[in-house]
Amino acid sequence: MRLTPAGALVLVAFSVPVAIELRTLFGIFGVALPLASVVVFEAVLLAAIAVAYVASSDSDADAAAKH
Amino acid sequence: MEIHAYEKLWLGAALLLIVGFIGTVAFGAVGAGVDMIDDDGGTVDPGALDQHPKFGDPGVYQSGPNEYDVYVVAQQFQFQPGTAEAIEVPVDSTVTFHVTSADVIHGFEVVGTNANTMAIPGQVSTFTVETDEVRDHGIVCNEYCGSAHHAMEGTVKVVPDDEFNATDGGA
Amino acid sequence: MATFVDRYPEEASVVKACLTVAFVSLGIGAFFGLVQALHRTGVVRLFSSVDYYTVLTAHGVLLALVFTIFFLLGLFTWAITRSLERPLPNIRLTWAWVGLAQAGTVATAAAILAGFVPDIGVSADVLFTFYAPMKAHPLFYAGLAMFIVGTWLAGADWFLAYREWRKDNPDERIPLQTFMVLTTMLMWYLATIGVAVEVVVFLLPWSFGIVETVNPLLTRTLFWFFGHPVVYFWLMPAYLMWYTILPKLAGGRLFSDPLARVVFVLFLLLSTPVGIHHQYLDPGIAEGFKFIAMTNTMFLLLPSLLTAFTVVASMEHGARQRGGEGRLRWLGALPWRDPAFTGMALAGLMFAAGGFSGMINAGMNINYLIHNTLWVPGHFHLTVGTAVALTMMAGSYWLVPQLTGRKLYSRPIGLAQVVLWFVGMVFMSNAMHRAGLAGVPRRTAEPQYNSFDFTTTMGSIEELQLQIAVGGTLLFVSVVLFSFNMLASAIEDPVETPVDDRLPAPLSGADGSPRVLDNLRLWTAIAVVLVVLAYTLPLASIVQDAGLFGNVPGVPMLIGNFVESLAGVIA
Ligand code: HEM
Ligand SMILES: [Cu+2]
Ligand SMILES: [Cu+2]
Repeated sequence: MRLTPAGALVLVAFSVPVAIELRTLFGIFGVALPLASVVVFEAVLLAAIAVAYVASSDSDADAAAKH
Repeated sequence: MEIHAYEKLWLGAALLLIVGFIGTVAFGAVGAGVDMIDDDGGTVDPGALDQHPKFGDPGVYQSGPNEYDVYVVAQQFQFQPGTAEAIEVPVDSTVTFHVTSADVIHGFEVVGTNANTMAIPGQVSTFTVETDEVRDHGIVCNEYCGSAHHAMEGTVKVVPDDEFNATDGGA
Repeated sequence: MATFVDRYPEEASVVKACLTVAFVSLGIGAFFGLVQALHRTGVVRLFSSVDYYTVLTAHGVLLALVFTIFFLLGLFTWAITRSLERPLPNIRLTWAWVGLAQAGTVATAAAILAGFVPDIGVSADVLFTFYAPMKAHPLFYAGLAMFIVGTWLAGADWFLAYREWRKDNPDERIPLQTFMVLTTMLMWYLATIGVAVEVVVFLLPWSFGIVETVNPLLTRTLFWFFGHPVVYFWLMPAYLMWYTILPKLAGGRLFSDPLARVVFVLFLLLSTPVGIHHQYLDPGIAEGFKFIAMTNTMFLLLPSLLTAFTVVASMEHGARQRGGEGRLRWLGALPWRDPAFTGMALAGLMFAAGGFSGMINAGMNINYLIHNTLWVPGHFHLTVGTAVALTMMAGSYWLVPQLTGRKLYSRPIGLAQVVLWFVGMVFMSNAMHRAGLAGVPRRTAEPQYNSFDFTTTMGSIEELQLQIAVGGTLLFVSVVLFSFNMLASAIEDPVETPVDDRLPAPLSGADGSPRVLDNLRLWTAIAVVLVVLAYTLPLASIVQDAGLFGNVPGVPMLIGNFVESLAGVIA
């Protein structure tokens, strides 16, 4: 499925609360994560979205090339 | 009128959730005896607080073995007692607070706990707490009351029995 | 194909006049919001903390009352006109209420903003709840009264339009949007009785010095009689858009018309007899009354939960119409590129989070932990500050072109704007909730104290402060982008079809549903009975305590204190 630029932007936005709440989640289990871990986690999420975006636009290009 | 099967399911779950909520609070109030602020404190004449037997000289009063009453007057921008001198109560005792206001509406919140009430002129708020640990607590006014509202704070000290001096804090 | 402005040019001007006031208030209010976020966290303090409360009063009034309600006035005028398919019966009446509400707004805003200039001798630093015995300048109360009467006349105007329509269509069901407008206004008439009595009978005469004293608990209770249903007055325009516009934007149709009606009827019935849930910590109100208010409040969750279902179901339907498949993959098929859609969807998502923190507020016992802490603004910036405000901004991207006949200047900027709002609000609201749990009070210029420190369970207070400041800044930038986009759209060239303004009929229409749903008299009567049951005894006991006019003299904010202390120095 194609990830549009708009879709990617919304995913990026959505990753922010997920990252921020990571510490709350661990907090429930009594693990106190440092702030840096949130930053790292968010960076990983952003990288994942970037990869998905590039991959989907590549496959798009392929699909377009076939036609 | 047509209601989708999923929607019926959702409706049922929603109702269950709501009744569950009401149930827990009802249990908290009746079963566990969680204390709410209500109309038990009665009323006072806000213009004549100084003639009131207790609010006229606010502070800590012993009412029984290990039982204390604390009378507090909130006014722009201090708690009396609390601000100029800390409220001192002994550990392992039952303390009933009586809070009123001499001017506008204030808040009286023992920071980070659920000892929290509004102080309304003419009305007396009462609530009871158990002191189970020797430590200091902050008090803040959490209702906007005027230009220096942010400076309105105080302290409650829970002290060991032998350090407790009933004459401190106004009693 | 003509759009709204071509069919109803006069009405379009009315809507534009309302939205203009709304957007100007939004701009000013957001600037004050930024100032607050920076000031109370200690990041940047531009002025003395005394002025903080002038800023906060203006922020609350301009955003929670003026922005939201003027948007509502515009939206409802549009909705009534288009759904009844006829112009308003008497456009002079229409302009009269627009003028009255605007004049009231100007008077109230002037009274508040004059607080920045002590020399004028007018001020109203009483916050948007104006609890007596804090006393504002009479101009403040008079403006409020005019504003409210303006909204009453607006409602009368819409009811007249409906009556005209009914004459020509004796047997038809009330069109859905009209039904929503009318039920909302019935709720509003009932709710505003509280604030009207408070202002006109007690506060206005008292601020003029005709009466000496007030009963603070009585005026406070009357305020909250109005103060909770006003929440639904903010929310109903958003619901109207979620039910009737969002499904279309998603590419589908509304799931069920009758259920939408049920939801609005439930709001009419239950919105008002709950106000005492804002007074869980007030002395002078018996626990039983608080319990009744809580029970009603919990049932008020029901229409919102039903709405959540319908909104998601309609979006899914839309996505599948657009070729979406799979259990969750259909989400990808939604039109995320459209700022109107994306904004509303994100607003709905945040509303779910806000609903969750609202359940905590509503629980009578848990409430004691967070009452009047920063948790509360954290909560309502998700609800009114996002579910409502973001839906209104997003809706404007679709609505305004119909009023101007001009295309939106930039969709990408619109998309960036709504996403930025979402991210900013995640930061600000999340940190506010946490700080509230640590006991940090709301409405406080410098929440830092000499005798104690706040302790957090997770992260540090400094970290939370920073999150609030960063979030507030992003939100402000978002409003700047919105205003820019609206202004730039106003000078585009007029086009034939600026936006696709058709609204498809719901999947299941009103026809099969019970007629009693449209019986507005019946629902109003039940609503009145519920209010009488919930409020008679508490009000009677409050009046018995200290009398109607009480025994507490006023305390002028803040200039009065200043003048008095000056007098003290001279004497
Ligand atoms: C730029 C966006 C915004 C920012 C940065 C912002 C920031 C803030 C902050 C920091 C406070 C807490 C002040 C305190 O308690 O000391 C506050 C209060 C408040 N905000 Fe906002 N806000 C924004 C948008 C909105 C919107 C859109 C609404 C409603 C439509 C809104 C309604 C309110 C209300 C009603 C209060 C409470 C005022 C009071 O306690 O009297 N805000 N805002
Ligand atoms: Cu205060
Ligand atoms: Cu409420």
